[in-house]
Amino acid sequence: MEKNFDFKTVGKRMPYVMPEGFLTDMENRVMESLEAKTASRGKCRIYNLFRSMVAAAAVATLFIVCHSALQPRNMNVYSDLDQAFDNLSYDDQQLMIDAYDNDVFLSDTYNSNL
Amino acid sequence: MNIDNNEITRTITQDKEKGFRLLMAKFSEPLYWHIRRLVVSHDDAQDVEQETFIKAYRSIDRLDNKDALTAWIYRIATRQALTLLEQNKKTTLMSEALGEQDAMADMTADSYVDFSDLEAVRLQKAILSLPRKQQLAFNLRYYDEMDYDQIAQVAETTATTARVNYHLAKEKIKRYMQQEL
Repeated sequence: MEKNFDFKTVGKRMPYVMPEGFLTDMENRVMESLEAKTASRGKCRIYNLFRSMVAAAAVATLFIVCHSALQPRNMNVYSDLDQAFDNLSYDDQQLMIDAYDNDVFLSDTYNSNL
Repeated sequence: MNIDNNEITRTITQDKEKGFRLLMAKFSEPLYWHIRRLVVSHDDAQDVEQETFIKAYRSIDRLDNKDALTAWIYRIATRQALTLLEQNKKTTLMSEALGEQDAMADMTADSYVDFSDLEAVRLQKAILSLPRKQQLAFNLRYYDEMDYDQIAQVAETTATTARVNYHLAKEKIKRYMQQEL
């Protein structure tokens, strides 16, 4: 004769066992995990901010370098010559003036007598 | 712990952490057993439950219907458990024959199982041999005493489907247990 199974004979019994103190540990673990995740998210934000600042500084530097490179060069040769003449000693300057005065092509004295 | 869901949702509104601790106090144990019945292994159940509460904390501000707190937290736990089972590539819930072998293997491998209660072991074997939806409906009705509307919210189905799944599960379990007698 087939026996009918009655759920009431077993009820809500299960063969599974929960370790002692598990639920208290679970709560602590969850809170620790949430705190750790919040802290790491904070560090991540600071890191991202730092990366943004470095990127902005790199872009600004690149802009300055390119801007300087693209500026037209100063073609005022005479100012360079004046600076070079000023850098000469007094004796050297006099020597150059005397040479200029005696030059048949450059001197105004010779040219005015032609 | 017997804490009213309204008290939990009210406390969360005022003090999120305090309310969350009340939520854990109320649901830690029933959720653990619900998860354990699905995943069998204690270690897996521990991981799933921890992840469940972390996800719950992150999304509790977005909880639309404060009256459905129980179904909401159970739904998160169920999703996490099923995701773990998928990841472990367990076939427990997919076919009757293979599922029973896998379930027994998991039970045997786990040190937190008491094999002395043979009838309880047989009942779990019977439940674990069911298709997933029937297993869920049965567990939530039989162990957690949920009504079919709640089961529908947890299992993301309709109340009618939940009812059908429960009755199909019950009949299959009875046949299984009668064969074992």
